[in-house]
Formats: sequence, structure tokens, C-alpha cells
Amino acid sequence: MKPEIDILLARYFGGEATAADMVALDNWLAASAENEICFEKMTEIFQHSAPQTSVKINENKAFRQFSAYIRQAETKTTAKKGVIRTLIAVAVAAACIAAVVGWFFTDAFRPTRETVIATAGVINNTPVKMAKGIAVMPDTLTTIRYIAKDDRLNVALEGKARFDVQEADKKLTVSAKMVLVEDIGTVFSVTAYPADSRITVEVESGEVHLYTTDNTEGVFLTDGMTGIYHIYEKRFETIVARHETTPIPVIFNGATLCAVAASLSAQYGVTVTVDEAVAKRLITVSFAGDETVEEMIDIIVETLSLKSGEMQIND
Amino acid sequence: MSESIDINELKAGKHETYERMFAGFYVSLCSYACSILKDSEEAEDVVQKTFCLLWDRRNDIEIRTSVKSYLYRIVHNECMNRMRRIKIRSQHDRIYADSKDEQTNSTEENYLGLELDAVIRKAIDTLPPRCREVFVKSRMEQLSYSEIAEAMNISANTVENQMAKALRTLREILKEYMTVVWLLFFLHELNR
Repeated sequence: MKPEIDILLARYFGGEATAADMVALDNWLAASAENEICFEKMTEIFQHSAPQTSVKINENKAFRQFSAYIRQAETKTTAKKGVIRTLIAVAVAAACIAAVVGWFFTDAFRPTRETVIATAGVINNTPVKMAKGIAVMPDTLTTIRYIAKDDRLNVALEGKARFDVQEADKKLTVSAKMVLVEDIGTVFSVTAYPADSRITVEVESGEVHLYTTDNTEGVFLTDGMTGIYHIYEKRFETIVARHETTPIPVIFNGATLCAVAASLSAQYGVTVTVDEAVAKRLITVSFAGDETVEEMIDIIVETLSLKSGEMQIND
Repeated sequence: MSESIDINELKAGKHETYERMFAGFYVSLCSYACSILKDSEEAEDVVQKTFCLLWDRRNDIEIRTSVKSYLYRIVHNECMNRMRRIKIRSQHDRIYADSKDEQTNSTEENYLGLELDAVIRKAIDTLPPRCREVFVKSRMEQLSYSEIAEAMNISANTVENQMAKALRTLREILKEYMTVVWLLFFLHELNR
């Protein structure tokens, strides 16, 4: 070994290495596997050259903390990059639970039968019909509970879902945490994940009434509008045509094609289908948010070298 | 372990890969950090923060070496920085024998570690006096090169050369022994 490497290692182990030394060390290590083995041996000698103290480590606890950190951190990142999409799901989810609990204790809404839809990491991209003219497409990690009662369909949502209401014979109310979203014939998405401090409702078409039990006036949202309820501040915010002014990045991080199709379908109001043979293939891809859904699918198809028809829009 | 960690998966932020990496390296990194900091809680804190930092900066990760040596370097540097900041100096001048009573683990891995400790200590004793003194002041007393230079009335360059000489000598002395230890460790891992 060259004398300068000995000096480099001495600086490193002596805690005297500069930034330039660390770069030199990295270069030396990357140069050969033999260097790495030598370094690992030196590391072990260094470790055992000092008296050992008793090491009391709670590995399981640490693992749980780390696991929670990376999963929580990702939720936050997603929320930052795709605020609207993520928040909508959160809102509906939590509010639905609150509403369902409320209905259970209210005679007028005492349920006859509750239906639960729960999704995990992989979701089916087929909308679920809840009642005549009312369908829902839940996103990942979403729980939906719904009860039909007389002329109403009451839904409790935790997570994110897109609702499609066309010529329904029941009036749809989605509850997410403390927010209620009353449909007036429309296609809209609600985001209400448990960790979020806001509930977001995006209206693709039609009109919805967004309100709380404390503020029944709330706000009315129409085509292209986004309504946000800030839980801690107890206030509504309305954003008009947010998509047109601020493209929201679309990011898939190790997602299955099935989940990607469901997400794109929900976000862009189309039906993206994926062949079963490739449904579980994973992809990591980022879009700026100003691409069309067709362009996104083309990029995905090209990236994974999919065959014709394995992933496409069926409209 | 490191061979099974795909760096591309780390960059992609795959949860399972991070969890596998954590499970594979956490304990050994804590032991390493503890050998520098002499404080189990501090060591755990450094290692946990290292993993979290790696996750937070996953988009900028550039790993050209094995994941293992990369992690060890990050933990090593953070330990050294922390040592400078908080000046943990307690118990670093304990003589080697005192620490044996504190060993609480009895696994095969730790047995190998204990035996390695003893062999390394013997090897340190064979170093030339000045060389040994520099090494002990740096490793056991956690003194900086300038502090050692002042204490021994020599230049910082001499300290650095003596330290390099000490490490080189230890590497040579322990060359054969380390190969046997690594082989035993490898077999132990295979049998897990």
C-alpha cells in the first residue's frame, strides 16, 4: 500500500480527515475491491483497538421508528409535491369515519347495513358501484365505509378517492374527518389521510358543497375548483383552476403498474387499463405535471418496453 | 449483506430495501459508533440519524463503494464530529482490562469480538513506544493531532506519521488473524 494511503487512513481514523481527504478515500475505495476489504479490516481493527463498552441496543424499537419515519416522510413528500391529490383522499376518509360513527348514534341514520372498501398498496383500477349512478375509485391505503338509507348514500372516507355521480337516485354525502362534502351531481375527488392537517376536494365537473357541522355555509365548488379545509385554523380555502396555473408533479416511486393505472384514472378522469401479465411490474418515474395522461402512458410503456395494449386508455 | 442492497433501489426510495439495510447494519454500526463515543444512547442516535439522513437525501445518493463501507464512513465521521462538539472524554483512558467486566453479551459473534479485542491489544503493546503512545492518545484518549503534538512536544506531522505507522503495523501484525476471524464470521453468517 502506498504511504500516502497510510497517511489518508491515519487522518480518517484519527478524525483529522478534511473534505478533500474524504473524496480521496472514496476514490481509493472505489478503485478496487481489495482496497475495500483492506478498509473494512482496518475499520474492524480500529473498532476493537479501544476498550469496548457495553452496548445496549433496542433494535426492534429502532427498526419500528425508522420504518415509521420513512413511511411518514414519504407521505409528507407526496403531499408536498401533489398537494391536492393526496389531501383529497385524506379528507374523505377521516370524515367518513366520523360521519359513520355519528350515524350509528343517530336514530335518523341508524344503518341497516354498512359496506366497507379497504385498499392496500395495490389497488384495482375498476370503479366500485356504491349505488345506482354513484361509483367510487379508491386510491391506495384508503378505507371507505358507506351506508344507503332512504334517499341518501352516506360515505365515510379515510384516504383518497374519486367519486363519479351520474344520474344517481340517491344524494351522496362524503364525510372526511369533520368535513362534509355534499354532491350536487358531479365528478370529484376527496383527500383526507389521517396524518394530514387539511382536507382537499377537487371538482372535475358539476358542483359540490363543502362544509362542516360548525360551518354549514361552507363553500360551493364547481368545475376545476379545489376546496381546502384547514383543520386547525377551521377555515376554507378555494382555489380556482389550480391545475392550469400550477402543474402538480406526478411521481410514482416503485409503484405497480396497477396502482399507476388507478392513480392516473382517478386524476385524469379516464380509464387506464393494464394487462394482468404486467400489472405487478414496478416503475419509478416522475412527471412535471404538465404532460397529458396519454404522454405519461407513452413514457411508461416505452420505459418498461411494454407490448402494444398492455397499458392503455380505454375510453 | 451489502451485496444484496441495490443502490438503485435506495435511490428509488424503496421502503423494503431501506428496512433490509437497517436490519442488516444497525447493530454492527451501533457497536462501531459506541467504540468511538463510549455511550450506547449516543451511538444509537448517530446511527438512527444516519439512516434517516440517507433516506432524506436518497435522490442525491452517490455510492461508488459497498453500502457497508459507505455507512461506516458516515457513522465514523458523525461520531468524530460529535466527539468534537460535545467533548465526551469520560472513561476513555480506562485500561483495557477494566472493560471486560462490562461485557454483557455472550453470542458467538461477541465471543469473536472479545477475542479480537485481546489480540489487538496485544498487537498494540508490540508497537514502538512513541508510536504506541500516539496511537493510544488518539484512540483511547480521543485527543486531536494538535493536542497529541502539544502533549508529546512533537510536531503534528510527526503525530500523523506515527499514527499511519501504527495502523500499518497493526494491519501487518493482524493480517493472518483477521483473515481467520473474517472466515469464522462469514461461516457464522452463513449458518444464521
